[in-house]
Order: sequence, then C-alpha cells, then structure tokens
Amino acid sequence: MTIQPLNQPLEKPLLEAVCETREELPDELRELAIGTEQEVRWVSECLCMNDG
Amino acid sequence: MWVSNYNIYIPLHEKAHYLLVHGYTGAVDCVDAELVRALQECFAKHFNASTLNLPPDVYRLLEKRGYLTELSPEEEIAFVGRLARKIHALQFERTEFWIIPSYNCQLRCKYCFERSVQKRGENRGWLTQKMSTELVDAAFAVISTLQGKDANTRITLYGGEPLLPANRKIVQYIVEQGISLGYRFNAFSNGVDVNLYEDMLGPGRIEQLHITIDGPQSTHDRLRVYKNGKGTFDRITRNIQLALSHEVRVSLRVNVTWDVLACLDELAQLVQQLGWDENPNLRIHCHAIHSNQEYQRAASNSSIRKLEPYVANVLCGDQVSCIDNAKVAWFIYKTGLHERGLGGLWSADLYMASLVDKLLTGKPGCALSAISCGSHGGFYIFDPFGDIYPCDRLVGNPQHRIGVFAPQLGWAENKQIWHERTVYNIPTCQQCQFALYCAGGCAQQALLTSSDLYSPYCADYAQRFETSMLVKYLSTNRCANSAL
Repeated sequence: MTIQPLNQPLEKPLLEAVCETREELPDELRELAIGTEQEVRWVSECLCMNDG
Repeated sequence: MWVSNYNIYIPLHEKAHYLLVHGYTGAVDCVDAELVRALQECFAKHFNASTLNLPPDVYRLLEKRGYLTELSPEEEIAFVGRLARKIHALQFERTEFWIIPSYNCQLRCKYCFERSVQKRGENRGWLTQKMSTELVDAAFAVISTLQGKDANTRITLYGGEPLLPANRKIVQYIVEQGISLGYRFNAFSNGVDVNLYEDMLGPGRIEQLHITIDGPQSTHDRLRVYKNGKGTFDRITRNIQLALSHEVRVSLRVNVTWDVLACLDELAQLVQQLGWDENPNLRIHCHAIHSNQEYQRAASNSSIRKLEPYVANVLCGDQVSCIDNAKVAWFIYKTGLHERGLGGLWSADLYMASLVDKLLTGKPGCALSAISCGSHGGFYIFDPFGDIYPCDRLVGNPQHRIGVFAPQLGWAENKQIWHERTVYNIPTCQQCQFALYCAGGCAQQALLTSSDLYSPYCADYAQRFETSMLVKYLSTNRCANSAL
C-alpha cells in the first residue's frame, strides 16, 4: 500500500486554531484557510472573473 | 481512530491508482487502489481504523493528512459545522460591491438570463431608467458602512450593459466619486460601446473589463446580436484592442456550445493574429453556456460530424446536446488543445480550476468555503431603483432584494435568509465530503429547481471537481500521465 503526498494541507493544530480561537485570526492564518481573493475569486461563480 | 467521512476518491486511469483528496484539510495524495479499497470498506462497515492493518508509516501519514481522524463520525460532522461557522465569519469580511447604472442593454443575445427582467422593463416603461447622482451618493455612503476588513477595493459596474452610450454621464459620476473615495473599477461589459468610455479606461480608473464573446465571428454573430439581428464581433474585438492599448486588463470569456467548440480553431487563429496570446493583460477562458438558459444547446449536424471522433470517445455516449463545464474541460484535455497555450484559450471551468490550482500549487493552505458564493457573505449589488440585491442572477426581481439604500438604508427579512444560507444550515450538506468546497451550491439554481433557497444544488459538482483535479494532475505530472 502506497501513499504519495502531492501538497501541503492544513494540519490539525492549524485547523483547531481556525475553529476554536475567539480572537481575530491573523491574516496569514485566514489566507491559509480560505485562500486569498486573487487565488479563489469566489464572489460569483457564474460570472467568475479571471483575476489571475 | 476512524476513517474520515470527508475523504474524496478520484480514480485515475483503469483505477490502479487514485487521487485521494480531503474535504477540510485540503490534502491531495496519489494512492494505490488497494489502500482505497481498505479505507472504503473500513468506512462502510463502521470499523475502527486500527483494524486496517496498514504499515505504520502509511497509517501515520493518513492520520497526519486528515484521512484518519480520532473524531467519531458524529464528532467529525460537528467539528465541520464549527469550522464552517468560523469560515463564514471570515468570508463576511471579504466585502464586494457592484453598481448597476441601468438595466438597459443594446443587445439581444439569444440566451440572456436577464431578458425576462428587460421585457418587464420595456412593458412597464422603466428599462431606460438610470441611476441618479443622489442614488450614487447614497450607494457610496452605504458602501462605507458595510466595508469589511478584507474588502475588495475595486467596485464593479454591472447591468444590463453598464457602458451604454446613454449611461456615460452617470458612469463618469460614479467613477469620479469612487476614485475620490479610494476605489478603482471593474466592468462587466458586452464591449460594444467601450470606445465611448476611452477617457475612463486605464489603471486607477476602469482598470479591468470582463467581456464575453461567443466563439469566432461565424458563431458569435449568430448569438450576440443587436435588436435588429446584426452581429457585434468586429466592434467588440476592436474595442478589446482599444482597452488593451490603455493597459486595461481584459478577462475574456468565450461562451461555449458544441457548435462554438467545433470551430474554436478559427478563434485561435485570430487570437494569434492579434497578438492576444502574448499580451499579459488579456486572460481568456472557455465557459459552457449556463444549464438553466433556455437557449437550445444542441449541436448542429455539421458540428457533430466535426466533433464525432472526439465526442464518441470523450463523452462515452453521452448526449451531445448536454454541454457543461466538466465536459468542456475534459474535451479540451483529451484532444490535447490545452497544450497549445494561446493565452489560456484552451482552459475551461475557471471557477473550479482556481480551486484545484489552490489545492495543487504546492503552497500550503486550502480554499475552504462555508458559502457557495458571495451572495451569502459580503456581496452587495446596488441598482438604479435604490434596491440592494445579493445575487447577480436575480437583479431586477424585487422579491429577491435584501434591502434598499435610498432614501435611507433599510434591510428586508430576505437579508437574513440569504446571509444564513450556509453549509451548516443545509442539513443534507453537512455530511457531504464536498461540504467545505461546494458549500451548498448555487442558491439561484436551488430556487429554480426546487423553489427552496435552503435546498442544496449539487448538479454536476462532484464530476466537475473530479475532472478539474484530473486535468490539473495529468497536465502537470508528465510521469504519471505517461505511466497511466
């Protein structure tokens, strides 16, 4: 049985920090969780703009 | 330890290997079929993961990347609910504002989703109503109160057609007021009269245009037409050139039907001839005509003949008439068109591609979402009647407005209804492995298909996700591609 990692995911401590913290998340953590606006232009799928 | 409920298994060629993707850690791994069978069986039988009898290093890696979890199935679903709430709060800070100067448009495209609104406007005499300067001031005053910490500083002009000749004066006022407040502008335009706005184009002003063409001239001039049926291809391409000369970034969408796809080579030649493939300010991509549009999407006989060598194999006997983004993306990949570059002309399903890019770029992190789009977050559209809408597909339908911004700001009950349509408020979504990627699907489509905003709209999400993952993985991993 083989497993070959292809990326760097959100690991457990990071996910728990996103999930449990009551304080404002630092920008870096926020971008790790939801991506930057340039990476994922989520505002409207049907009129998705290529902001690249 | 348990097998996670949020594992996504995507078979590679002949199912000897799989892409294993995780629904909330964002992990992506290439695994063999034996491991997939073991994980799926363990999950289906509700066995503890300790029964899997895996090599210790594989077990540890599966746990580290989220495919095995110490949370019980019920605890894991509850955890995803908590995570979704937190993510939703973050997404509310990402505000985005659009302004509609008027609902009018000089074109009568065969498939326009706003046609019913425009017909109503024609019949009742309000189609030509433009936003007043007082409404513009009121919109900017409300925008300043709604700004989130992660706000987009570009305001988007939308319609109808925002850059109509008749709108020039009010658009100039919007742009000047916006610039004085620190904003820059995008516009969704058909491109037909962009030349009349030349003085407003460029960095710091209207700096990005989203323009759509319907393939090369032969198909475009049948679909994107004036009221008198005359085609618009020459005028639009001329204006794209003009915009590029002012350093405007142009996002060019090619609406695709099977007929358009069959003659995209013609467009490719033009793209090269005009030098668009080498212009860094022009981005181009294909997009299947939206599934709810009434326009007949069936291919003509000549297109079927041209596509037949590919359609038969690529679409596995599927009906040619049923085109969607997953099929377009797979078709382009299987026919090798994606390798021809041409400024991205041969890329499709941009929205899904951006998610997959984020997962497979090698940078750490994910792109989790608790909402299917900004309609349930910080996205507000201001129209020429003083109404605020949450969704670009539903503008002009007052039953869907979430508030009014003039003469003073007032919110309707609809605001809460739209803003609370999150993945954690749609019970059937919470257990889905795509929960934090799809997040319930398009609300407007849910309304159309089930009349219930809070029903999920899954459509072909899983297929699109899998196709985009495969195309990205196989395109960038030559070894895997040749081995498979």
